[in-house]
Amino acid sequence: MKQYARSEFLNRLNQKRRRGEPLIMGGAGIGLVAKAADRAGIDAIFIYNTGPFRMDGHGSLAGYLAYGDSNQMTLDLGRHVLRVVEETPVIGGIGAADPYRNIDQLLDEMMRLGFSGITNVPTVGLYDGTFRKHIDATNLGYPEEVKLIERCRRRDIFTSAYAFTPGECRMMAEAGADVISPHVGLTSGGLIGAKEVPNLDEACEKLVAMCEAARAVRSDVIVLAHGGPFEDPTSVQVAFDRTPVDGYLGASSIERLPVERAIKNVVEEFHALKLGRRQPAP
Amino acid sequence: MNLRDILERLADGRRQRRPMICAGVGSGVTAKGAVEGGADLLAVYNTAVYRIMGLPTALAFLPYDDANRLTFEVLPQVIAVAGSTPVLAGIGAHDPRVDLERVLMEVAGMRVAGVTNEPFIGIYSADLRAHLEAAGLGFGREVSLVRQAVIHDLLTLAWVFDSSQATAMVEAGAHLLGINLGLTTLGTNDPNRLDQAIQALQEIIKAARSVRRDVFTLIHGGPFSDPETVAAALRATGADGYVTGSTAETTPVRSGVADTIRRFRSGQAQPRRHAKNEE
Repeated sequence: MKQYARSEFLNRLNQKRRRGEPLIMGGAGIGLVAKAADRAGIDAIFIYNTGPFRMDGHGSLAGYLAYGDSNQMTLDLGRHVLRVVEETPVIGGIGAADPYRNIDQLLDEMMRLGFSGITNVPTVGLYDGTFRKHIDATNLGYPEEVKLIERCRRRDIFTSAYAFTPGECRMMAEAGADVISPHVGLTSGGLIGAKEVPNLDEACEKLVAMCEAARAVRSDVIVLAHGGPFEDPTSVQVAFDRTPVDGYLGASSIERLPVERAIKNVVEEFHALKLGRRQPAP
Repeated sequence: MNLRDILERLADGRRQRRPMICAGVGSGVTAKGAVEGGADLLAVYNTAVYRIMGLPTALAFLPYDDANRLTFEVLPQVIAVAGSTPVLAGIGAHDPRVDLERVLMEVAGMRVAGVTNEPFIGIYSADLRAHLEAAGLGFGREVSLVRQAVIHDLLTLAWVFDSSQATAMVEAGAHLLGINLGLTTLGTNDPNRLDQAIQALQEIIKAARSVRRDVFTLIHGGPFSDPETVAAALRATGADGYVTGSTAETTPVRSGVADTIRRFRSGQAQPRRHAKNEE
């Protein structure tokens, strides 16, 4: 495990940016995925409470319902993942509306464990309508996530922020987020992917608008494509071609979908083998 | 008391045109108060547990606790003081790691009369609900909970937010419907909002009764924040009763405690002033 100071972390990313290489970051809900991604040279590993649900074969959205202490889940997962990662900075999610924890103490604990950065997950960006208005107005909503990013910046902790609208991109850029991931919707594809997602054209348009909003505040902010139809290298190439993003942040696409595919293929290959000659069963 | 006796008692109340009151409680002491006030039913769920902790009830729909663990922690306190008042346990049906049948067996093993589908996903927007449904975490799981509970002879209070949910729940065999008009807005006396709320209730009740005429309909939330507005809504809609929320728990507890403290304080202030004057 290596823990990176914010400046070291940014240097690593900016060197790649200068060389014109895309930044690739991904989520890990189990240690094995983190280990494989680390050895493959991924630029950062994200861990948060939706990961374990996803890797147990459930929808990631289970992490947005009241069936667990999200911050405790991230701390527990951190203990598994940080041990098996050698070179890669690990970023941990914090649910900013935690009613039981002091956020500064939680940050202390996460830094002690070896995290190199923080992200706003679970994020209330997934909720909308009346419920969202209600939580935003009662100290349980997105403003708390903006404050979380501000707090990390004051403490010189690296941050990556999910944002869902140009306005949220602007707020997060102002708060000092090092990375912004405009979220264009839940990821499609596979056995338990979201059914209704924006098409590639719409997603690229949204992405451009959110990129521009973030960079109007700070031209150096790193922006990564995420979610929606960006589910595999082919669709992400379209985002790279049509939008000014610096790279890609995948969760389902970097762990769930590849594992589903690989296991299916290898089981089919084994099943296709032919048994050798033997005595007929009695 | 078995399910048939409970239903008979509730039907008696309806014949006598007495509004049925189901008290949502998050602690033993508020349950005790509700029983003393004559509540027909008690219901324990995570929103009530949060509000009694002094925390916002919206936390019941955010990922900071296991809703069912909260319910099971508080249930014994409520059962201990409930006496002959039936107790309902709020069960979150969506946890994909949990087998509903096992949860129901656990509930049935306690002195609990039945279950209710809380937390419910009806609180979220239609978009998010569609995503949850597609992921197998949706309203369908709440309907399964009610259907399976009915098979186990448990009393069921089904929370619904619109006519289609109401229809689905009555078809699943729900005994009582809790018609939820969203987060309670205290101090709203806007007559337009009241009219709209009453109209929404009328539609949902009509849909529910078209499936089963004798289903009990209870109202909750929205602009119904005090006994007067609730009484007016019951008259206008023909609903059978009301599920209390913060209106009969945190609101009276806070104002009662605050008033009492003020009275103690004002009593103490006087002798002190006298003492000072004497110096």
